[in-house]
Amino acid sequence: MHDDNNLIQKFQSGDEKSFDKLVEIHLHNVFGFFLKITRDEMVAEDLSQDVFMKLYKNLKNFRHESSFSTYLYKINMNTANTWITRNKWKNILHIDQIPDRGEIDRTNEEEWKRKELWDGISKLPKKQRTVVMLRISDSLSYKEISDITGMSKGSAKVNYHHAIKRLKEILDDA
Amino acid sequence: MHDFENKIINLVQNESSGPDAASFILSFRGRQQKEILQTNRLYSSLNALAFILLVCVFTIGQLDHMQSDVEYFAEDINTQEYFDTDFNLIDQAYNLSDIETFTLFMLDESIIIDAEELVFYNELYENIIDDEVSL
Repeated sequence: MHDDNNLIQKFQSGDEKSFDKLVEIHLHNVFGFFLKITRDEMVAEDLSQDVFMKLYKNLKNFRHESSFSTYLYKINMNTANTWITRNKWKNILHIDQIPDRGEIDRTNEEEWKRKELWDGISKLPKKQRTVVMLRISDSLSYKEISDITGMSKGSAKVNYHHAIKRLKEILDDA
Repeated sequence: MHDFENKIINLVQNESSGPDAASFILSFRGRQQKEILQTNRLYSSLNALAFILLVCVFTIGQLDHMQSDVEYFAEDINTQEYFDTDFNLIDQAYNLSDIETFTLFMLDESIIIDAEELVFYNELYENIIDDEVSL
């Protein structure tokens, strides 16, 4: 954390190498976060690059009011939400190309379940989706989720509860 | 509910080690350069477009000051006065009373045309020359 602040300050005073260091430190977490959502290494890498691109453009204005990891999570969440919305539309437009469950090989059952889970998550309202993504992908506490999303701890709990209930319904129906 | 939560948490876990940081940074910098180039290209295009628009506006502005109606000198002056000017001396061998509007029009359009020629065209216009009428 202390390292992050030092690196940010150096970057803000014009040291480009500090940004590379920041990327090195946080790449694994950012990439892991997107890999859980997308299940595709290429897409996860692209989205990670999007995140660091946004970070590079906005880091000069970072005022150290919140922790850097919270700030980075916010960018992650916005990027993930954009990707999910875009993907949802893509799925709707190509609905006829989604194979029937009966056609799926049993060895891909796990993959199919994952796909259904993320399809279900993409159908949730934005707040519920955000909370559930942070909770299940990175096991964040409600306090951390409330810091990232700006909603209260209670609201985060309620949203998570509703999201899980809705997901259970969706996955049981499928 | 807790079982279901654990189930979905297990479902999203992955074991990938992630991309190599050095190659990631390298491709990140490449993408950054590409974006800068694209932005510069966009700004150049916008500047060019703005310049073209500016030239168009100036051109249209100048066209506004042009007189759209052509006023002929011959419309405000009688035949005799017109041919009395220093620039339009016509051969006295021709009878000026025969020269009609068409000749005046031709003179207005181009004073370079020979006076004799003008009289000829006028006669042609008036169908005076019999052998040309058949044309």
